[in-house]
Amino acid sequence: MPRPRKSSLRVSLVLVGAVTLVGCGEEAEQRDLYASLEDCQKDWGRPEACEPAPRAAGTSHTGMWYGPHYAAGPAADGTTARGRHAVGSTRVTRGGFGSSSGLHSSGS
Amino acid sequence: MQREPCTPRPDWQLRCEKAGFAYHSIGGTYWDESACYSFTAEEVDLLESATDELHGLCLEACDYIVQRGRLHDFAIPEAFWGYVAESWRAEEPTLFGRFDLAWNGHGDPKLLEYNADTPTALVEASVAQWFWLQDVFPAHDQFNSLHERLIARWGELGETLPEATVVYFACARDSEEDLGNVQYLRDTATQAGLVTQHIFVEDIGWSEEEGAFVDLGNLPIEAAFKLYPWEWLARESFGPHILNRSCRWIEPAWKMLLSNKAILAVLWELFPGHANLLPCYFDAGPLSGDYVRKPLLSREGANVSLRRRGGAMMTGGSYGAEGYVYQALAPLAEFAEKYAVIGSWIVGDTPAGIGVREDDTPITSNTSRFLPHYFK
Repeated sequence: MPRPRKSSLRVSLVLVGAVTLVGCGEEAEQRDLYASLEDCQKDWGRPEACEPAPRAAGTSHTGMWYGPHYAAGPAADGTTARGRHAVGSTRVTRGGFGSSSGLHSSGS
Repeated sequence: MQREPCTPRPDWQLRCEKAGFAYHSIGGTYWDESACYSFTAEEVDLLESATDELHGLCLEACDYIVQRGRLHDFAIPEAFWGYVAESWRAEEPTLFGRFDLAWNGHGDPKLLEYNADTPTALVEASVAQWFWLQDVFPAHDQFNSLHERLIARWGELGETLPEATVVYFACARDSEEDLGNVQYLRDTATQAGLVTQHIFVEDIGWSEEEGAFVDLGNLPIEAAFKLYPWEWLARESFGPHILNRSCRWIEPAWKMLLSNKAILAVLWELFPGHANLLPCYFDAGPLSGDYVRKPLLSREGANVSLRRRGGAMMTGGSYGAEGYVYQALAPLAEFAEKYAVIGSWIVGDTPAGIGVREDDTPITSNTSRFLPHYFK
């Protein structure tokens, strides 16, 4: 009986070169959430600054809209500042991973 | 096992680059097809069997460590002990790992270490040497079913995730090699039907409102393959957020036990005298002969000390603060004054192929060259 091969029958790649490098994110950024596109435009003026707010990739639009990203900062009363017509905001911190990689190789 | 001189293909650089292996000359000569290693079918069977055996021993050792509460021996932050144990008990699936073996074709392959968390040298093992085989020795075989097995394993992993989950592929921004490995793995996952995205670890965000890690569009990251060591994730400022369990990480947290050199001492404690293991302890006392001191968490041969009669040699680096293990010295395969180590891959629970790294010194490091192999 012939010995079964131990190497792949076929090796094909579909994504090589697909990643492009992008700039670093800010330390903390914020994005306001709106109940409608109209409310978003009232705060930001430009329709292109607003985009649908999907709950997760691959799911359908929730009906809410996101305004653009901007550097987060506190309001005068100490709460999180946000646009006048926004119903909420998301505050995201970045840069909490990656500090060890400048010192060592990640691979082994 | 033999080392044979070979004539490099005239367009080998282009052939490697087309296969997504653009860093073939990183650090000077890395991919080296001026020679290759040849094996017999029986030798390949032995390597396959040893890899399968070692994988089984490691799983038994994990169970022992968790059951006996030995996580303190692994310098894992105490806040993560419960998380690691839970990950093991939940049988969170693993993708892959690479056993580094000392073997010269005679006797039993001996485990030097297990790269269980962030193994690299994958594109060269899975893709570049496969194309080399088609070009140079098309009538022969190669111990390398990595590509097929990775696709199959991603399919199995995908079945454990909620439908339409996006799997993010994360690595550090500043390493071309890491990016190449991650791009390749993402490619195999995509071929398995998974929805994938790339993200650099530095770009991963944390949303307090969502209680989740998020991507650059602030969408929740619910599953992530990370080519970024667990011991770094756990110690960096976002580390505590991992414990809210909003993300499924691949490799799973229990791999922290196997990628740590402490596993070598625990394996010897559990299976003393095993044919594929070397004597190894948390102190040098029990070792009567030549030995190697390895930091618990070092990578790519950093801070390794080789002590033998008549001299010592040591590599540089900044590891060692967490402690060391002391492993009996196993002579590496030596051909033409080069030292070779065999990296033997496991994908899921199946041995999937080998890659041979070669160095001018007996300590394999990130500058060691990769040579292709075939068997007949």
